[in-house]
Amino acid sequence: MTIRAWGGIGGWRQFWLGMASLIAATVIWLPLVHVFFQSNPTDYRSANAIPPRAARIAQRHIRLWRDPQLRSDATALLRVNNPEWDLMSRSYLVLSLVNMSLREPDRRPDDVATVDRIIDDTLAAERQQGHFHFLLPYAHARPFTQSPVRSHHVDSQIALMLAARCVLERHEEYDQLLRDRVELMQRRMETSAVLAVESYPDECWMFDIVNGLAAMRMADTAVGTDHASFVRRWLSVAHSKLTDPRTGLMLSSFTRTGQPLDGPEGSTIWMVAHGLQLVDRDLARDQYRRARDELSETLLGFGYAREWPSSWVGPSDVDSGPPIPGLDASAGASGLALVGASAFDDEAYLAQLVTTLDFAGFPREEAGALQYCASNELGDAVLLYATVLGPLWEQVQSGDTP
Amino acid sequence: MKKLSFSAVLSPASLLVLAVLLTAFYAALHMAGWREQVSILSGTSSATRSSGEVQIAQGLVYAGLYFGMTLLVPVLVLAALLQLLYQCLLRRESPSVTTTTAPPTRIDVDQERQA
Repeated sequence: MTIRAWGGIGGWRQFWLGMASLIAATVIWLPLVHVFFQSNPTDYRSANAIPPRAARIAQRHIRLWRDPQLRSDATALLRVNNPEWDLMSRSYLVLSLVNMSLREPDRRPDDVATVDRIIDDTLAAERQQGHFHFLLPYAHARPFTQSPVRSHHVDSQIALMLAARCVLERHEEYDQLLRDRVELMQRRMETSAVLAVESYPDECWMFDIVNGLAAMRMADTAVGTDHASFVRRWLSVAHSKLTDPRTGLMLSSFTRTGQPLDGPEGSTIWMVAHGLQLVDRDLARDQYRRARDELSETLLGFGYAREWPSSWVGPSDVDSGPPIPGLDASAGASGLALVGASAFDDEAYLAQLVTTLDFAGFPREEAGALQYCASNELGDAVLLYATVLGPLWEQVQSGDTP
Repeated sequence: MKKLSFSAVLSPASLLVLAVLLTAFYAALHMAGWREQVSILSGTSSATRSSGEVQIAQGLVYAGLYFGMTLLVPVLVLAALLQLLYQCLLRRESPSVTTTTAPPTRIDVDQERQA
């Protein structure tokens, strides 16, 4: 039979040739895709300076806080999905700007002005509209168990902002507000046998508790408070009662009596490990290592994180975002994994996560300002923080007063 | 009307046409500004319910075409090139062969009739 004949009969031979070529092309192409989305680490990582990518992300956020109309639109979009995002986008931006100022002191006057604007606006919103302004509607579903009603989510986020500001530069009014806030948080935690305090009615979140402890440690450095013995007590309780026995990872939520609600969660544990760096470095590294084992994944050169370890079946929620079917990848967990990888100098995983970000984050650059279309203001603020974190924690760890 | 067969769909020309079509659709949606709608991937949707539903549809279509562009189009082009390369090699080995899309032989005609 001649080749001409098979081309003509063609049908089946052409079909098999077509299928074979598609399979071969897939096998060749898929392992190569990540190469086209890899960035030079100097774009998102720098020991002392501000990496170029961070400057491009920050540009848009700073513009948002200088233009009331832009700010209002962006805030409305965040709040309609989750009022918590409004608050957390502020605190991650404040943490980022403080780190950027510590990296490049020439920026300090401008950054401090933006930080103060954010803090003042947040305190005004808290004063005028209360803690429910920054909480999901289910905060009204049943009564808080502790009186007066407050959310540790709101307290810890505001404490983080005030503390970071005061570590950068003392400010009489903020110093006092910080002292008052951390004292209040500690007092409320002391009322629980497991030193837990509500973020939502009878729901205590590890994310908020560790952020609160990080704020206390910053306050110790900035304004001279002393939480060393309280932190030691909390660590002892957390080891024995707030840890998932299967994975060794900290629970993400529990009641005020310490009954577990949710197990270890990707959108919580990476930030918890980072916060613990100010509380107990060995525990922090241990939690990061365990989170890497349980939640990090790599596929064809792309890194991502899952919301739940394989040993725990949990739902996706508004923080984790919809999981990618088949991969179980979570946008929320993967974004915060960038913070973890950066904080623990896990360069290989960080590079894989950034590759995924550039592939599936849908970056868009306009007039030098970078945003990720698959994300939102909070997500971008977290990404910004992941690229500049370091100096603030180092200053607190070294105990250098501002 | 000529019947479209599997073999025709998998020919180099068809694969390349499909790649061009996907690229053109993607480029059109990109220029129409649909990229911003992919924020639904992080669970962020527009302020109103109706605009939110439109955004979900636009975001999913855009994301599908984007991943099609980055994952599928190169595979289609590469597969077409591999087929052409294969045919070139066969032609070099058998000088009598001109092309795989030669006029139908008697066997083809018989097969079409049977079909």
